[in-house]
Amino acid sequence: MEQVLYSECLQPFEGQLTNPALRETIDQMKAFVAVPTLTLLNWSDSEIAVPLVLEVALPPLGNVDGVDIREKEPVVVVFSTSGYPRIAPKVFTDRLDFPDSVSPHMFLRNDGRPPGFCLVRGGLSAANEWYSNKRISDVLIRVSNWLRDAACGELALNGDSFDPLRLTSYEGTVTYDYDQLAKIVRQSSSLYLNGNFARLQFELKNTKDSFNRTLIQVVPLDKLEAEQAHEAEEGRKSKDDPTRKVLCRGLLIWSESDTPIDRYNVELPKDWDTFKNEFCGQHLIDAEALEQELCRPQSGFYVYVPIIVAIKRPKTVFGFSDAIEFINFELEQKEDPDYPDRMDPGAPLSYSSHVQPLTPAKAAAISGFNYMQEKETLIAGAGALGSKIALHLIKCGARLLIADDDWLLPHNLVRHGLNAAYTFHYKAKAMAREAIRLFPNETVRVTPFAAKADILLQKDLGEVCSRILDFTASGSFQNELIKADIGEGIEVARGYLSDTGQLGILLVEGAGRNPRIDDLQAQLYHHAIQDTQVSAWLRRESELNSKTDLVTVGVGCHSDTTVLSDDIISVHAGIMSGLVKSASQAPPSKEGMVYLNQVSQEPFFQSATARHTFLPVDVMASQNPSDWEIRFSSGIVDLLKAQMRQASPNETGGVLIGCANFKTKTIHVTGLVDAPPDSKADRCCFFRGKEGLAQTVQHITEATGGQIGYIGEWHSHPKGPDAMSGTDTETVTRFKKTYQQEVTPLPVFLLIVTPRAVLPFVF
Amino acid sequence: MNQVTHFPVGNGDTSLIQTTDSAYTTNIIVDCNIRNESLGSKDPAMYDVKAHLLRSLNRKTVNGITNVPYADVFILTHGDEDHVRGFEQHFYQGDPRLYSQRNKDAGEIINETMWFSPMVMGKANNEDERVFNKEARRRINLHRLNSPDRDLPGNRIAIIGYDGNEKLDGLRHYVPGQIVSRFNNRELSTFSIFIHSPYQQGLTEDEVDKNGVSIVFQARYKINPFSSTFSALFMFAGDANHEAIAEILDKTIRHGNATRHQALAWDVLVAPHHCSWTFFNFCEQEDHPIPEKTSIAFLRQRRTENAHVIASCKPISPYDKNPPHYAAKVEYVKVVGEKNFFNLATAIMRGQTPQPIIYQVTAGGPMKPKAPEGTAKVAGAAGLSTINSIPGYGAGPVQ
Repeated sequence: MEQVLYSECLQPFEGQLTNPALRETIDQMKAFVAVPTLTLLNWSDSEIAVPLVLEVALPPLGNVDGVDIREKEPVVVVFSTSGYPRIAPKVFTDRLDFPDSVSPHMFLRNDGRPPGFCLVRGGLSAANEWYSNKRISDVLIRVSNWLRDAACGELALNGDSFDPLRLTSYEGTVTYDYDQLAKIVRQSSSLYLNGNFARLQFELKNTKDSFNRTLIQVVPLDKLEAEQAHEAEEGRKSKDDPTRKVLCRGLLIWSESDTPIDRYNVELPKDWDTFKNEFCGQHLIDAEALEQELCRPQSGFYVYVPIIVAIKRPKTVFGFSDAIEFINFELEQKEDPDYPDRMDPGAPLSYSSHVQPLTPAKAAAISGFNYMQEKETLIAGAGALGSKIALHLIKCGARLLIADDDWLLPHNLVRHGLNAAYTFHYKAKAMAREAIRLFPNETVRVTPFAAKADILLQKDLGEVCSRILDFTASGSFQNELIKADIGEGIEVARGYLSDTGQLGILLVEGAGRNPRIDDLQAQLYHHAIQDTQVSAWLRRESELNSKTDLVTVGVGCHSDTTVLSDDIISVHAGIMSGLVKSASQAPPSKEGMVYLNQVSQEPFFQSATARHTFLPVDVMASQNPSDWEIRFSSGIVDLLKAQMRQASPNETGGVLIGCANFKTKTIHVTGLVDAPPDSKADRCCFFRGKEGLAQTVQHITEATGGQIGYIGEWHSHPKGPDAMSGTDTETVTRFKKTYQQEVTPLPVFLLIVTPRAVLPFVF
Repeated sequence: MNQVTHFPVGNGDTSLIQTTDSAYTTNIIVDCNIRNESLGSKDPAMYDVKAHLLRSLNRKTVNGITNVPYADVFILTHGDEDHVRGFEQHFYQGDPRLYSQRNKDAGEIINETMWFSPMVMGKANNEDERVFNKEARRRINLHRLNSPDRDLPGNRIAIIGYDGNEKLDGLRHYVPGQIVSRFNNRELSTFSIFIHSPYQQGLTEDEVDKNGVSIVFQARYKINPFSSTFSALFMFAGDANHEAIAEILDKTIRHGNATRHQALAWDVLVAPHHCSWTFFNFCEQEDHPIPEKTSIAFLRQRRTENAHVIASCKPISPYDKNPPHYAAKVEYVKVVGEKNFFNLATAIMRGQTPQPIIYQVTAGGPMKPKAPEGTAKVAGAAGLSTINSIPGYGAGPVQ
């Protein structure tokens, strides 16, 4: 009688089932299929097979495309006798005539076995993971539903995509860019005129753990000899030479017909004869020319030849961009005198799995965020924070210009994004090399600049950069960045750490560089007057830096004396990277943003991010000959004018609050203190009093940790003139004399408000 | 999601038609018979239809109130109580701009579009029908007055059938023989409804028989817009009697719609009038025991031998007379076979509670949902029957 079930050829299992979980599972299977007994058969030395029949719900209008799925489907469930339930059961069809060629989601046949059902995406380890939360009844339900879906034409769960073959039992991997080879097939770019194959060059990248061939290039005819010479040259190098590459040749073959093949071949050829005459024939591929190329004298192929076969499918292959499925074979050539100019029909073939090289687009897709922009982003400072943020951005497809003049030293490794392989390399160059390692097939993703970033701050920077991110933790660079004329349209942000590294601060400038990073800092410090958390931080900074008269807010961690752990840096880097990415997709904001990310250790390690928004400032130049620029926080100028109008026809005035920077020649006016009650004014004079003023200023200075304080005076000329009066000049002279006695003298800043103008004077 | 759910609501009808097009799922409720005892599974013998609807319907923000449940279309086949029970309590009536948090807290569903027959202009026989008619007339007025609000979600209407009532002139009507593919202002490419009834003649008779003028329609699914065949055909016949069915059969065939549009074919038929004898002949059944040929011919329009008949009624016993009528069941079974006849009250049970029958649309026709997989990890849910029962324990004698 003709065999109809595969299990008929299996021998009964006569051993003892010592695995209690397996015994219990078999009892559960009996209950599921409602039979008193199940037969146990030998599948292999370590596996048993249990044949049974599953009921399948079939569609009422008949099976789609007439696929031969039946109401009762025999299957074989295979268990590892010792590894179960850690190793999930596998399920195979028991029918020898099962319509496997029209069913995706089936594994290839192996060792003459029937094909197995692919129940879980992701291979066998994924199946084991899946089964850790499933029972045998769930597996059988899934198989039954698989068969139902096959009958309904719904097995391809990927919508309009074509499900590729489920390959297992690979021998190694082959790495190439799908799109690169698909383009060759679509354009039929053959090595020879009217040919149907291309010649490929691979590099062997074997490790102790894996065997890989990586595509180096598709070799055109005019480079064939040169590349053969190159291969030979590499081959002559000593095995100990670190620059030595092991190169080999392979082939890509396709069908000249555009007829798509939608059938699945779940039994791949194992020898040349089956490959050429059956497999290629079924897929409308003529392998004759390929065979001639393989056997051509001086063709230069080695024993093992990777052959990639392109099968044209009716729909875009799931996970890829084209309707071409590649199957990757490896042919083992043997010299056989019986076949001097042809391939030995028995030459064995194995197959490899395809690995897509990492590309920026792929990285962006995996990251779920695309930072691929036309222009580069300048990262100034590739220290602990900058390197980590740079790597985050690179992994979203960013192209970076990284500027850093420092080397990577051993102690940097504790907190840096790079690893020990780059010790004593310039950090900028090392970052560029790391990007090449990530995306080996790409053109430059990171342009290194192993020098001070200041040099880059030129007007023509805008031609290559769309964004500057400053992670230098350098006050010097900040001053340069503030004053730099970098042209239109460049977005600027600055990230740094403070509060012994527990606070990460990201300043994002508004559109057109207003508010600028120094405006944001000044306004943030002013905000401490009403924000106790910001105030507490600035007071702590003040205490830490109490030896200087004006504290520096912010730390660098380039020193090995800085105590700060890598995880805290990573938290800040992750937050800042996320914020930079979000900002990159938003339209330029009129407002500037300050993000404060606070890491705290108590009661447990945690972080929280707050955002402060600041409007553009009003910018004025000093009226008298000086380089000073005055930047008023939003609303202050309007307030001054309102106070003038209110007091008119008398003069009025008061004290200006803020800070000044001699390096950038900038005064930030962040607030006002009204005229003290003992002030006196008439139509042509204003005498600013002093009652309570010192206490008010003291409060502000203390609350802001010394960052904000008295910065100047203002008064009104409600009837003009639009200039300093003689009295004003006398006061300025007196103040200047007093200030010069200070360690850090304040500039004398006098502001005159008239109905027509706001006139700053700085001496 | 392309599926049709028939709920077990005793002698009555409640169905939910769902169809997904361009990533939006249109929900169409056909009739409602939501009994108070079913709410919160107070009576374990009743399925909680309201909870199911709230789980299934789309939600949106209305008047600043988030997650408001709404149906795209509510079709009332006719106003008998077993088709409209619970309408007042569970569906919002009135200006949709006045929907408030209080309405949401009360679980009121907004019907963005209402489909009804001209019967809403007549006299109501029960309180829910009166409320439905009032809401329908509120919307009709907006449309008659050409109010700028008339097309707001919650004010939309379609009138099924034409009775010559001049008050409804100029309003959107769908009449027998018409195929509708626009639902709640959305044109669908893979779903349509063929209108079979009511005919004008029935609506304008001196004494209108409500069951005779039920809205009857065929819900038609395609697997893709370009398909030349339907992947599923559901016939909703309301409480249509054998005379209405005979007229549908006659006119559909006569106008060529049976062949041109497959308008009579069905894969699933909801047995009219809760499996009563009226589908087959006049009552009493003893006086008219032979089914009309037209009714049998209507049943024979089933597309395949796997077509299903759903009896939306209480459990059918051999002693039952209208509705359900055991003799009617026998006639259905003669045509479709025992395995293809399902009484919603008994077909799928979970404990004492009857479960809805759900059909998912596949390229091979409407199918019951796949068997659900379980997991290896489990925790008892609130609906666990043992939680709702009182177990007995005690220090009695050991047996």
